[in-house]
Amino acid sequence: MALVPKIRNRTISDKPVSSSCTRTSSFRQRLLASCKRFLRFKLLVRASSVSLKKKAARCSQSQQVVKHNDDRIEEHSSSNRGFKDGNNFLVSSTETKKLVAFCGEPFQPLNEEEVALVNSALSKRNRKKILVSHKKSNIDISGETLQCLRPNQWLNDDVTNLYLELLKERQTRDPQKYFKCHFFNTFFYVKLVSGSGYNYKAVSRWTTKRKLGYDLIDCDIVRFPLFVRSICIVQFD
Amino acid sequence: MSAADKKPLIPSSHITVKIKSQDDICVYYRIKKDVELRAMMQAYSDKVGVEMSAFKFHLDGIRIKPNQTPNELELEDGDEIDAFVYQIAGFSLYHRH
Repeated sequence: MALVPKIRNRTISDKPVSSSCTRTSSFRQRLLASCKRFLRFKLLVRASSVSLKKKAARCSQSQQVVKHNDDRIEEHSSSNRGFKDGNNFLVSSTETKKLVAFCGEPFQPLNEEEVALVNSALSKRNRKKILVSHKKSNIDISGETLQCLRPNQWLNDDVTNLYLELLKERQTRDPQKYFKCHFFNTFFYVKLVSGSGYNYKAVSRWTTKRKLGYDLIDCDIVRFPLFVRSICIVQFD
Repeated sequence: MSAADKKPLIPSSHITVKIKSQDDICVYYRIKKDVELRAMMQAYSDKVGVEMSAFKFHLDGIRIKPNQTPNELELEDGDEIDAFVYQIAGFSLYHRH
């Protein structure tokens, strides 16, 4: 007896009968929206990889292709307008120039020399070789560490920490353009919650002025990454 | 009396440091200030039974390399070194749990 309404809910899809059914349909909508988002992202990635292979002259053409593909998807996804506002990738057809400018500035397409460099860094030959040694943070990046940047791999702590160090360096290089920021490394949270829950004493010496060269309280933004199954970055101003 | 007075005057060439693992197990080592930390790290790895490359040693949030000496790092008596293990995280379609 109890099974009958359940089956009904599943079979009748066009007319929601109960509250549980509406909940599932809204969930499905959300799932569809996220799938579309992912698809759009994938298209962008594919187009950028295509543009890597092509020469710089052809680059703007491939970006046009991205834009057209995006428009096609956007026609299908009418429910997901909120996402559109915050994302500069998805501009309307009249703002083509802006898109090209946006794509051109922060993510400049690599030239052939750089692509060769990337390929050699990811090659099997350089697996054991130490490619970069960052002196300030004492992080060595070998070819093996970089393998995590290949598709369908999990990020590791070395790559994340070094990237955060580079972001910090970028801020010190150009203080007018960026906020004064501090990045903890990926082990900060591990250390903070070690022992019995919250353990301030374990990390109290991490941010002394002598170590950092500046006061933590002067920073505009403090961020630390959380390594829990997936990576998230916590920020407080 | 004279021995007790002289003791603080002569700077000791040895310090005692503590290596703390992620599960709060502490191991104490007495090391020379001008000797590379490699020996201590190797001894710790042997004790735990894991290869040395698997550990990442940090002093107050900054990575330590095996070829550094306590003098370089300005290590003091009773300082704590953290031994972390490899972290991976992320999202992939094929390795989903």
